[in-house]
Amino acid sequence: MNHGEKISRAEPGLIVFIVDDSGSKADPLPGTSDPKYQWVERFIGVILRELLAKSTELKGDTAKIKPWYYIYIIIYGSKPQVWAAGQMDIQAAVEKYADDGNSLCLGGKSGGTDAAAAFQKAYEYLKEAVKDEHFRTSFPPMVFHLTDGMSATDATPIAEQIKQLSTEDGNVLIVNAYIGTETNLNYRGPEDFPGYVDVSEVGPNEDNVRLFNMSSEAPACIRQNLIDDGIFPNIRERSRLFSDVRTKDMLKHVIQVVGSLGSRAERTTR
Amino acid sequence: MASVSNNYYEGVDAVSPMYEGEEKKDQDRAVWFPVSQTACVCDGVTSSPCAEEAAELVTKFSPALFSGDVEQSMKVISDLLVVLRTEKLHSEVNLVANMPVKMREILQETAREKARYSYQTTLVAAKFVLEDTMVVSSMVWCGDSVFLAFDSKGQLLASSPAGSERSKCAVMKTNNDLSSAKHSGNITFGPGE
Repeated sequence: MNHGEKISRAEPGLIVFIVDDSGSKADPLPGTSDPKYQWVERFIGVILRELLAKSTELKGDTAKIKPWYYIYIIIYGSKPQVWAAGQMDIQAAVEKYADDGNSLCLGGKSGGTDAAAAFQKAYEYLKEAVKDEHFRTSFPPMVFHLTDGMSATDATPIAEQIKQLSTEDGNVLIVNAYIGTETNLNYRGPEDFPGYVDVSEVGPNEDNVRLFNMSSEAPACIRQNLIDDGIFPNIRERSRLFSDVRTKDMLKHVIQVVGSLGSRAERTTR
Repeated sequence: MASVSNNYYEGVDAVSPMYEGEEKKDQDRAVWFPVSQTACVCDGVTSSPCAEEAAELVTKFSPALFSGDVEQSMKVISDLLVVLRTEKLHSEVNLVANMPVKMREILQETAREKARYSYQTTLVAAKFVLEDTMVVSSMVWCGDSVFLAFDSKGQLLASSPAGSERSKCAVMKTNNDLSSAKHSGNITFGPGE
């Protein structure tokens, strides 16, 4: 139970996105004129392509995709909905995204914000997935929740249940990204983002505190991958997988956290 | 691995592959050239397409590293790998039949991106000259492969020069970058040292 497995075809990674598509997602992302949901779609598209690239092997003149990653996306407002066919391997997910015009069909038209219902949906799926032969021995799944806050419901209890789920390699991880909030942490951008270690750093905002407490502590290998990949090169030990999103650059980096899934312990041994 | 016999080294070649579950890794090469008394180990970079070809080429070329200007020889082999990389960058990639057009485009682009990092390997090569009680060795290395010499009891006699930079930069990287390549002067070791 040490979050030590590498991602491979035999032990693929599973990423569950929980994407808030409530009405406020139609508002512009701070510092831009495009709505938040469009930036979210773009950057999820970027990470899907990156995961596809990681899964693509070039041997001689032949490119072959190995199903190293599986994706499951829940889009929610007042009600949660599962994107496309539910669990898809990375190739199927990229194909669907491309077929839909590089879109997840978001639009900030899903009404209110019921985060608890979305997490419940994720729990129902994950409690079976972690027992599935695909993922039973894999690096544990990562649940990536992206919101601009103000949920009408508290997802904390169900998030705690999700964190108790595990594969043979450790407990499921929860990542929270909060668009547009303010915190007590002073940093300029991804390059000096130190991560949140203590609840006092997130400030008095109740949503901040709630999302911080829901978030898993970054396992050592995830932290190292974030540093090595230049996503958050200054992230501290024991940081929670919680980020506030102040700029589009930060949003891009926050979404790229899912690419840190898995140990790379043998990276330097070739 | 090499051992001394009749004032002459005898060597053993080693070739991968190894398996990690279903994944086959076959990009490491170790070659001994008995006539020229040179040895070479190349450790192809896993994430680099065509690393096994790079390792194969560089090991075969390695005796030539010691036949003239080492830096010039390194540049020659590096240039060759860069040419092969450029060819790869401009070649069409075979994809499975019936793949949707959009997906084909995405994969072609992905393959081109990966090809930018193709043909990477580390290198450590050494040439040995046996004298009465000493071995004189000249060596070249690049990346994080190292040279170690032991006596018959397993005692370390010599290694890549002290303070050697174990750069993670692989040999023959993009833009002919040989900045991490090192060439030693003669190193001596032998019984009693």
